[in-house]
Amino acid sequence: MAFLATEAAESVEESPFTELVGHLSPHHYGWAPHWEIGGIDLSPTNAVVNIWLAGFLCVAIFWMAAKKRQLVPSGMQNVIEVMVDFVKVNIVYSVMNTKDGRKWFPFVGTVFFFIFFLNAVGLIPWIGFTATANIFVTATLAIMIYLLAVVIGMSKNGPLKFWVKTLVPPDIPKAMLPLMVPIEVISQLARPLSLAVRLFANMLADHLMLYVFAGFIFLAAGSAVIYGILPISLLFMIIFTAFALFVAFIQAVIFAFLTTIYINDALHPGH
Amino acid sequence: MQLVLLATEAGEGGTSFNPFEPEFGLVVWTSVAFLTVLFLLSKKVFPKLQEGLADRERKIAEEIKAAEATRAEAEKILNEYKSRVAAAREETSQMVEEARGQAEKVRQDLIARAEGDARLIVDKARRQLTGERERILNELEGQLTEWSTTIAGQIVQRELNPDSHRDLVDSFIADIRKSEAAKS
Repeated sequence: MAFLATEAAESVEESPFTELVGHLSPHHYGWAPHWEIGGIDLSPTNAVVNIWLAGFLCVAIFWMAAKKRQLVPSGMQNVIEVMVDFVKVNIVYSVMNTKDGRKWFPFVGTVFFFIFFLNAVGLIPWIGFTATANIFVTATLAIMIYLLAVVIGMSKNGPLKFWVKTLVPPDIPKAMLPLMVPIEVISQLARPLSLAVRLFANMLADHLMLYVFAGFIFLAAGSAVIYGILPISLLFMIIFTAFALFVAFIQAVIFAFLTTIYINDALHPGH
Repeated sequence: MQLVLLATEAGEGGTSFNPFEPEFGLVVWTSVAFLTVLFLLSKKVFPKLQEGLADRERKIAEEIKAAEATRAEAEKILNEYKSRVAAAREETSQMVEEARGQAEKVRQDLIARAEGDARLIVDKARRQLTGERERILNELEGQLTEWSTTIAGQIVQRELNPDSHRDLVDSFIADIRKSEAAKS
């Protein structure tokens, strides 16, 4: 460990924060195979493993809770049911009517729990990386959700009616339309963008904070200041890890909430 | 330990950070993972969880309904008992009133009878007294006659005929009585 610290200290002398923050980029494992299909690199990077792990944990925990469910819940079933009830009541039914809510709860629930697990997996020691701190992951989810909302809106209301009701605000003078329609178009385009950037930026900022405090330790390694810096940095890392867990939850709530709103808007455009 | 890992990777020369570096592999893996999780959760997990929650809600609703029915039954029985107790109390109070009335009547009867008996006793005593008085008066009358005769004989120093003296004394006493009656 001392050897590693010494090595780290040497690299810190060059650029400790850049070195640490560099780990927020997906990187290949030396032992992993190299997969490439159609020019797309599908090799299991740490980000890919993170996504697999989050998906596996999400399904496995819920599967067990659903399989061993009892009339009077206890332990994990209790936690899962409280969270399911939270998503159902506080997110889905607070936006949608009962009929739509019942139909769309599985989708919104999956969005919430998948993103929560993606965010939370990054806080597990040894992993130190979260997939949602990558814009391509969050953008994929945001675009998928937005496209889904558009598709269901068009299939339910008809393409023309859907776009007219979506882009033309009700009860405004016709003279305002040349101004309002472009604003609505921008607003629609901003939806997936804001959805993706919000989650990405928050999770990135979370991990950057953790790396900054870790960076102080590497910066001070080898000097007498380390005895003062180490406990303070560790304390702040513990505090920010707890805060990061809270942010992971909040960001999942926001993402799921906006997903519900977009789907509801698509189901009932112009309302 | 996380720090050690970071230090190791940093020591090996970690990659430089560019959050916008294209990672189309992540797009594919994110889509695949999300759709797989969506399929498994929405087909295999959420229905069971929701079924479990619905079962519990149904069970709780049934329990509440049963509890309400039991409570209504209990209230009905309680009301029945209350009305019975009220009726019993009413009946008891009526009985007490009746008993009190009867006791009063008995008391009045007893008093009346006692008064009647007392009156009879008094009358009887009065009659006895009157008889005794009559008898004593008669005896006294005889004695008085006898003594008068004796006294008169001694006074006149001669023996008078007792029958003529008795007539004389009787008329004398009768005169006294008349005068007494006239006085009263």
